Amino acid sequence: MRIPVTAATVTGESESALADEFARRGWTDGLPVTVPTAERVNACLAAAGREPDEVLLSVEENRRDVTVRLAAVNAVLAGCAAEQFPVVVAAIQGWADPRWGAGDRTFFYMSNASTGGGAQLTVVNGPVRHALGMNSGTNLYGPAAHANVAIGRALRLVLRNVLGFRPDTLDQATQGHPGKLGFCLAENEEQSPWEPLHVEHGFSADDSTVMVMSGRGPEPIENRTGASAEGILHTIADTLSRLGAMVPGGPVVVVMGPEHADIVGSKHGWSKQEAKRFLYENFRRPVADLARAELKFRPDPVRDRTEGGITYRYGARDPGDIALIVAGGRNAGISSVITSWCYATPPGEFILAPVRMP
Amino acid sequence: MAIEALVPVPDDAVAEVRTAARPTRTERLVVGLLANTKRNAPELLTAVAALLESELPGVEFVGPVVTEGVMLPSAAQLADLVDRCDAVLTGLGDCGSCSATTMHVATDFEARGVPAAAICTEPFLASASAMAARRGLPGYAFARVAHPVSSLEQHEIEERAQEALPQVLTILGIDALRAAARREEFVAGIGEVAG
Repeated sequence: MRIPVTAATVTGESESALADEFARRGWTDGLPVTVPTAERVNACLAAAGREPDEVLLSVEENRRDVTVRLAAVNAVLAGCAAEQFPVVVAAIQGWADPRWGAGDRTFFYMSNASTGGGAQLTVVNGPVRHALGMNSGTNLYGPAAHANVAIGRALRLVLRNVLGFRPDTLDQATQGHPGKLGFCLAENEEQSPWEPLHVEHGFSADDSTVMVMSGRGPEPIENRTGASAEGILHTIADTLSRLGAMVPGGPVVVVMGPEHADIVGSKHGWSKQEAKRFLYENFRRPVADLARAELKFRPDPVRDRTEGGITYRYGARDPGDIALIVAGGRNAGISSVITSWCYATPPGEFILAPVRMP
Repeated sequence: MAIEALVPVPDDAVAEVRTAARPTRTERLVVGLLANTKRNAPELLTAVAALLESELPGVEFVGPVVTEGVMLPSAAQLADLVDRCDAVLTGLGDCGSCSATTMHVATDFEARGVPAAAICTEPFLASASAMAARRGLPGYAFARVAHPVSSLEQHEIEERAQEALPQVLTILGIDALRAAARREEFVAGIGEVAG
């Protein structure tokens, strides 16, 4: 596959001179980059089997399109190996899913521009995790495997360079979080007592998929002593229900560590749906708590319910708003949760896109 | 040997759009108020409208209409306001996404021939300006008020409205219209003296 002559290029005397030039033009996140030569970009295009001019995503608000070529240029820039590029393509196709915002696509734009500071999370399932050597174990959120880091960074550079969400203009995150450098996880399917996320959402175990959403930073949950399913799940639901996350609410990802999953799913035999139902029922705060914090919110018949004389605000609209994945090391009673902002998918739906190899 | 690298940003300059013609009168104007779903957005637009009543004799207001989308009006809302209004006030841009989408809305009105005054708070001038440029109106003027607005009480909202008012009058061309009228009076006065 040839790069059409219309592709814009810059020339330099050396790779380091070009890298400096890219930094000078603001085309990097400040870290060193791999120079996107035609040969390297072509290798990505071949690995994905896509036409370079195919538009993967159009963002109407600021009139920007992500073509396969531009995605590949940024993937090379981020240090992606060619075989990792199909995962980048799948995530961008997930961003283009019409369910984003439950009919109001502006939520995708907002998720990248907002003071709320979400980062685009990618959760990978299926055989591609092993093919690419992805990490789903210890140091889940850390730089433990090249594929996780490079895919996450590639997607961030696409947002910055192609869609224009630069931190000095369109991206106005008040604080953001470290996932804005790159936020790509893989599910530890092998150490889960339950069906993996993509199978739960109708894919075959042999399929490879990405789940994409705008996620806040992961919040740790430590319960090394709890021996009951209820004890573990209560600790997780309590972290989900912190006051500062109760007004936006909506879909969340519970990243259960294998040791917690062993207790809930293997030792006590809870199904994934039973665990999600328990989390849903306890992901709530009395409205009086919100009032004490002067958190103002619009009434929501789906999320406001009165039980036993106490009116609660629920965080999720139904148990399907909770994505329960297993990931991390099997070495301690540690889990985490990732709440969302500006990701109003239809209730119970998460956006999964297949990773396609040619 | 020189190395050639592909550029990672799109070459996608947008065509510039002309702003709408400004009103040619100050009397009996119909002004639309289009608020997004941000807290205090309708309240701020209503407070500015209250101040405009003494500036624009016989002014009528449509709204405040709240956008059907979280930040953007439906096509029907946009068409209705374009059809009924001589000018539009819109906002509120007091966050990262709503500052940009407020400019999206304002520039949509301008492109359809209706002058618009958008209101954003000061931390978001960069995002608002960047979006205006992407919508074909680089350098587009909008009203800038102190941050925040969403957490304010009514009397504080009225202070923000006072801050916005002179800017709104400039953006909608009312100041220029009045200046032109004063010039005409002055010239007519000279004529009378000379006559």
